[in-house]
Amino acid sequence: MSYKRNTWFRLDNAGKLYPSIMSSRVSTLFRLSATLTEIVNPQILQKALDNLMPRFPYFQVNLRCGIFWYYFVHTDKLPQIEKETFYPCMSMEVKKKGKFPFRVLYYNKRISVEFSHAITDGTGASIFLKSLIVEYFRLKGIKIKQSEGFFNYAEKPDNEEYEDAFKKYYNKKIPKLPRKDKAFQFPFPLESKGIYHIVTGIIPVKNILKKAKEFNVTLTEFLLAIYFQSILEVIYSLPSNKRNKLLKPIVLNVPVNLRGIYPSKTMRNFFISITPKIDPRLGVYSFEEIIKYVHHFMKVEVDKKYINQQITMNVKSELSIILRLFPLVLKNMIMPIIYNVFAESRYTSGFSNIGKITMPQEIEDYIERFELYPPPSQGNIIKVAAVSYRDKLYISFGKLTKNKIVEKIFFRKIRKMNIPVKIETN
Amino acid sequence: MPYCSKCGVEVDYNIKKCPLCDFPIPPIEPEEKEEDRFPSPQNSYPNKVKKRKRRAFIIISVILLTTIELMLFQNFSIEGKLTWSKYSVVSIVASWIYLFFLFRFIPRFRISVIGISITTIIFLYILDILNGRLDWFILIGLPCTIMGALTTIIFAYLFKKSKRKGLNIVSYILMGLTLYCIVIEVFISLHIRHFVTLYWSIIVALALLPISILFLYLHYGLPEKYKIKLERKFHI
Repeated sequence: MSYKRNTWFRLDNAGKLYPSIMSSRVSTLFRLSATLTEIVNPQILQKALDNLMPRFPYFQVNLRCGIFWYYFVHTDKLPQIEKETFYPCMSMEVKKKGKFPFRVLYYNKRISVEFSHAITDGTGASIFLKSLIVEYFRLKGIKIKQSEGFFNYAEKPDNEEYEDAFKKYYNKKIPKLPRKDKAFQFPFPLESKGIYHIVTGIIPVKNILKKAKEFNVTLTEFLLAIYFQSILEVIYSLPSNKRNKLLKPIVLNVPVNLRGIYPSKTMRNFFISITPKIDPRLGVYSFEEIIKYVHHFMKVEVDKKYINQQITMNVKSELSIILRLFPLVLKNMIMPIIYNVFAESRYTSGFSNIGKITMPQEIEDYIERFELYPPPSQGNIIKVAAVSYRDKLYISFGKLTKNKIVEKIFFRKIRKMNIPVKIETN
Repeated sequence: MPYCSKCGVEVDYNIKKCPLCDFPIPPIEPEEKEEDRFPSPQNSYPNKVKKRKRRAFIIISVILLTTIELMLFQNFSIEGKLTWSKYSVVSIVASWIYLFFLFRFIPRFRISVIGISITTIIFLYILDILNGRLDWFILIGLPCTIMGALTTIIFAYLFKKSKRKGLNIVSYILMGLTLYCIVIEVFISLHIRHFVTLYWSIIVALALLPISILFLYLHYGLPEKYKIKLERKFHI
């Protein structure tokens, strides 16, 4: 699809769902933010954004309603930066006329971008934020050599960045996946609408990586295992009658970036969720057992064949003529229910690690940290997102509840491994 | 650097309680001033709801006003004086006031209930007086409304008081209904026969009270002693 004025494009396979399930709690927004070592200058930031938008034409769009589907249409207007006033990932009506599916926020030393999942995923957002910061510092007079991982404002956008990579890589002949079981859900009361709590733990990468090496697993696997064990402890801490009623497998939703598996340059959604599962009904798990399970599960499931099966299933259901012929109004009514029954209730929580973020050497010292906040979800009221920058790992819990037990157990566990942890919250 | 002595995690300088376990952290002066990482966040949702509610109420008000005008005009132009429209106008005005309360423009529940009851009393009074004299207002309209308001307020109090909500709420509703039926029958029989006889409200009470007691029992359970006795007798 090539870029012309007044052009429109379809939402990608993963993004299609999100506008239909949007509500005042489920904003579908996730945030990636960078904290600088100095106070952000809003004029320069706005200039940087203006310069950058032609490089990211697929984000300079508005979401519109069709008869059957939502679509994005290009707009000539430029997005304006805003001073942060609301709770993170909240209070943005993507569906309102003239709104962009993302926003750029600043507050003191921090620059944040909040993207709706309808338009892109963590990788897309990180490339955008990195390019924005590079442009910001270029305007401040620092010369930066072009390197991997960010786009230069003066480049021409590549057509491949537009593509719905899911459709490109799906294979019609692959059979369906079996349906999944219902998962354990946190029995905590919901917070009032419009409020979102973030608890971030800051951990030295070196220490935790060393600990993960002791078990011969990757950092993501290690963190997943700690998270599994924390949830197990939450379950065991519930009163026994409540526990018996709620006892179901713990299933985590772990998105995998597919750009590493398929050679796509897309700037839109391109990820698949894999779902490690631990069933507390089978008995008590030791940490070694959990780690062993998670490690081998990831080895088996992060595999091109399995992943292709999932992509195919998702694309096939999108292409089903019955679904396509439903008017959008009906889709908006039915999708939240279907999403709740067939997706959210099959997961306990989500854990996404977008990995290490690197910045060009020239400006590395001007940036203190990066943080990633997961999108709020009513079915999985607690979700976790992690990102690392230089020597620190930032793990953020996004919560639609006041309850603090999950992150308390999680971070205390890490602390007990004799790894220093710093906690921050909004 | 300030630490939580329970969790062992480091926290920011301006934090008074541990973000994980609420354990108090003694105040420590920062060596250099820190910038806030987050604004004191605003929640735009309540405002949005308020705005929408206000807009809806204004639209409804305009529609109701138009209906009143139409009815008055039609009644007057055909019959030369106001006849039936008096009743409908009073009803529309009353429902407009009800809507005002139902939209929760007054957030306190008890005041809303009292407001709705006063509206009802005035509304019934006007309906009764429109034909020149009071027939049923004093003996039926007034006591039934007051009783309704009282049972609602008592129920709301019990609802608020009960910590674990479940079947006990259903039980309270049934009890309230029973009480309300008895009082209504008292006043109706007073009005019709000039003395108190109870008939149908007893049937209602006989049907509902055992169920509500059963629900209360199911909710709050039986003392351990009786539980063991019953189990002994009925084990399969």
